[in-house]
Amino acid sequence: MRKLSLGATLLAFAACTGEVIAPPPLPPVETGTGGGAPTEQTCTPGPTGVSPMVRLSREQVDHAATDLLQAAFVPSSALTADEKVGPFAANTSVQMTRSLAEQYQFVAEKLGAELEPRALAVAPCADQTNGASACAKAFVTRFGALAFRRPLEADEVTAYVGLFDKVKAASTYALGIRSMVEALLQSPSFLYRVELPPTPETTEAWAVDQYALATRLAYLLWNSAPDQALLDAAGRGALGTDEGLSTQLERMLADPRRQRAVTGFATAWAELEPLSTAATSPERLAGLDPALVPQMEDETVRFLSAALDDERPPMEALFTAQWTVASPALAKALYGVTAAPDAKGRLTLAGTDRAGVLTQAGVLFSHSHAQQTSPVLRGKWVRKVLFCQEVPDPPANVNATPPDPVPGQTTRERFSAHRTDPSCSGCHRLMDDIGFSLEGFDQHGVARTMEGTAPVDVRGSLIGTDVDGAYLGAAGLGTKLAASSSARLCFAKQWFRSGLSRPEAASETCLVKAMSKALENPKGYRALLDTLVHSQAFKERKAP
Amino acid sequence: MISRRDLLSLAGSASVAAALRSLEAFGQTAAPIKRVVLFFTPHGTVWDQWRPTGTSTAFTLPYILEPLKGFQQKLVVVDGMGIRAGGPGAPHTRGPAVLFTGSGLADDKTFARSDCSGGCNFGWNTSNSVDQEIAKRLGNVTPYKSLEFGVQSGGGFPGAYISYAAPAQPLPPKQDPYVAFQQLFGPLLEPAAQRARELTRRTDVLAVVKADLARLKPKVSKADVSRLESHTQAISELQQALQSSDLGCVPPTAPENRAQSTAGYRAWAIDRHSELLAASLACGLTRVGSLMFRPGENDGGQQGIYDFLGQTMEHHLTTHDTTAPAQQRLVEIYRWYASRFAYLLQQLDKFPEGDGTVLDHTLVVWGSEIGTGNTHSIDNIPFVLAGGGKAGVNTGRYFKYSPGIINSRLLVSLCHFMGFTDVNTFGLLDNGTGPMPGLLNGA
Repeated sequence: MRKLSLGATLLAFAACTGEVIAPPPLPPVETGTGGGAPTEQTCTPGPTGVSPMVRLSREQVDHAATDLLQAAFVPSSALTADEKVGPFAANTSVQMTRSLAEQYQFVAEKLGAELEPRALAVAPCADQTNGASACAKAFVTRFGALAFRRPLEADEVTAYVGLFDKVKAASTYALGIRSMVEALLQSPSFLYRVELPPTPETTEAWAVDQYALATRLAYLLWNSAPDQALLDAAGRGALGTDEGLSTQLERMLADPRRQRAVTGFATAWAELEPLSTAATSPERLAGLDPALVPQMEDETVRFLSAALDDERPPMEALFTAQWTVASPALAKALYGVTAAPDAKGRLTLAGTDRAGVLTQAGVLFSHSHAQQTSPVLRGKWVRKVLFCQEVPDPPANVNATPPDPVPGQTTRERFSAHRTDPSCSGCHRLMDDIGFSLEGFDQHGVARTMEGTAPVDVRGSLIGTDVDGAYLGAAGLGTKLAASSSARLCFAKQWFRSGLSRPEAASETCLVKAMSKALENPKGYRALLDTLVHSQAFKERKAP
Repeated sequence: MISRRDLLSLAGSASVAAALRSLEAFGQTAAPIKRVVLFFTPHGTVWDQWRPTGTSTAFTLPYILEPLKGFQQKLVVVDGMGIRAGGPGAPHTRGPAVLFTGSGLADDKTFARSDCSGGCNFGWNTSNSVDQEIAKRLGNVTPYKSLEFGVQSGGGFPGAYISYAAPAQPLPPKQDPYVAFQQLFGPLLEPAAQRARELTRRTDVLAVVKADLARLKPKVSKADVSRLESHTQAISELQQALQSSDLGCVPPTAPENRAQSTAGYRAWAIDRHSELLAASLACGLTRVGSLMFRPGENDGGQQGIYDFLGQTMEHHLTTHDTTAPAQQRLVEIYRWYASRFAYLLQQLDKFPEGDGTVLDHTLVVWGSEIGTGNTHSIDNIPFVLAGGGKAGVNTGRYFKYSPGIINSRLLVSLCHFMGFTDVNTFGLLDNGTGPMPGLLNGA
């Protein structure tokens, strides 16, 4: 079995950062499957990894505003960028400050102001003169449970109704309701995913309570808070059994909110964030219709969702699908595909060089420079996010600017310094040799066989993986990735990280391997989620 | 005594700022008010176009600093002051945190995610930044202890912040000028009765939040307690900040509500922030401010940052290109920084105060996370100081330190400028004592 420890990974790549003369040792391979060894039998789960208390991500606050208040205001527009684990949002280490609390105050007040004119619709009250307090109590009991993702304690209800009474006495019912909502949305029980220990002194991992478990489930599957049905199930203790968890899993995967989790995962995983700035940069657009840019993101998000539900195993669908779900405008403008979509809404890519996510415009465009491709950015994404390998930043003192385009020269030729200069080649062959194979697509993701007057060479090669060797073009790379156990294990890890907002601990290798194994089969994504939600890691918390 | 109504009717007259000064709600002292402002731009400079020629008092500003010519007599150009490395983290990530804290990053591997090698074995900052030390020492003299503004800064990494209240407590800057205006000056535009009612209501809302924090604290894991304590402190400061609506400030012109995706947004936003920061200082909302233009981080993949300068390539990549055309592009970026720094100074200089202006009583510091982009050298940071000339700063100078000194000397000087002369060292990396030689009168 070819398996190296994480420590070996660090050593191998650390060799890239200095004044490298000899190429660094090959990076290690971790595939999650052994040479015939029955991994699952020999694999017993170790201690649960440490989970810091998680503050909601910007997207999660956005979803709360939609679900709780049907708000038009988008909170993330006023919130600082999230901390991350890998490419995924995970606010776990920053301590609250006045300026951060002020952002939440601003969001709460915006949402409150929007709510005020509809207060009576949200918190109905037949008798505002004598029954206002009772109406407020009924409202905060129901609404507060959705905001806090658990029923409110009696003293909490008293405190919130007290606020209502005071505000109403000085002004109106609506302002009283609004004030309660503003306080709820700034409360630690809303902003943090609080998972209380049996006692504050508890140092061992403990099984989180049913409401906390429901909350984990909801953020994993919906990237948003539990709905009333899930809270009710938690209240009945129905999540305490495997059947109960499975029932909720099935129900929640059938809910449209499932798309939120897939969208959040897809945009982070495919690193589509640069698209938002690219859409307004004349240099990056360079003639591209800006309306196509959001459609690029939409394609990859919808594609990931469809690929996960495909009849083929997810990794095959993701990297070799000869279909896409691009908008007709995008398909026509960038892919030259004009055929109508089939009954499933899929456009065939047969007869083109395109296959899978690697050849989608959003991925290609966001991993390019203005007016030229970037074999480095493309290769780095494949190494980092698809193989879960780390590639260090370039050492100081090197010219890392891509050379200006030269007529008659291909990008591959212009990047030759990376191959000839020994201080570059050690790391760059890890990235560039992958990126070169995607040169059949320009910076906007349009297929090409020529760069100016020079023919494009799409030969690529992989080293340091379990699928090493030469291949041809994006389709060749896709075939390699689809067959790679290492890439599959990485994909499983990425779901673990995005779902639990923390990296997997070494002691949880067993679980990510089981999740990876689930991906071998059609509908493997569901099996992966099933494995995860029934795991000890999912049900337990260990405080830092 | 001047009433708020009187003040509002004075809006636009030159005496307004001076009148406001006397009203600064919490300050009872007759001593002149002093302030500090930190300003940050990333990736160092191009030295041969930055370094002045001439003597310490008669010098010529070269191309990059030329936009500051009008302020030359209010400047202190500092050559030969570096920051120290110490501790983990790559230069662009570590620099912004070290710059004004004088301390390295934590060795606690907060950012060593499971698949991250080499450069990620670091945590957050390990001590507070000088602006926050000063804010803490000033206490509740103003509604806001400090105000942080930023353009594309803030986020999940130490490289994205310069102001830190405490270890692992970066202060996210205000990003959107329109939102910042609403927060700082919005209540002042409301009728008095509504303003009073809202002050009470918002105070009551925060009191409920605080009570929630207090109820939760005894129940959470020990490791989570400090986060709730920081949160409680933050809410107390928000309550204090609400008092600003009673201050009688004259709001500056409201910035338009512009989307961040608008072309040239960054160039627009930095100036609006300068206006808001200057107005906040002038009317006594705070005495401590910072403005961070972009993080120190590698901006790989983010093209179009300097589209308003006609540049397509990322700034960081360009710093690693030693060819003449690339260096010229860099020079234009740094010159543009100088012009925006000049705009900030202009804003501070337009408020008269005492025998000078607000700028003459404010020490403004412009720094970067490294000295030279290509080498990541940190031995010499292109510091430019400005203002404070009527409050004890020897301005109109070009200081050349050889051998070089470290930023802790400047951080100590900032404390001394503000009257905290008991401070002799600053930051965990400080290996010396005392203020910067020559900066302050008598120092």
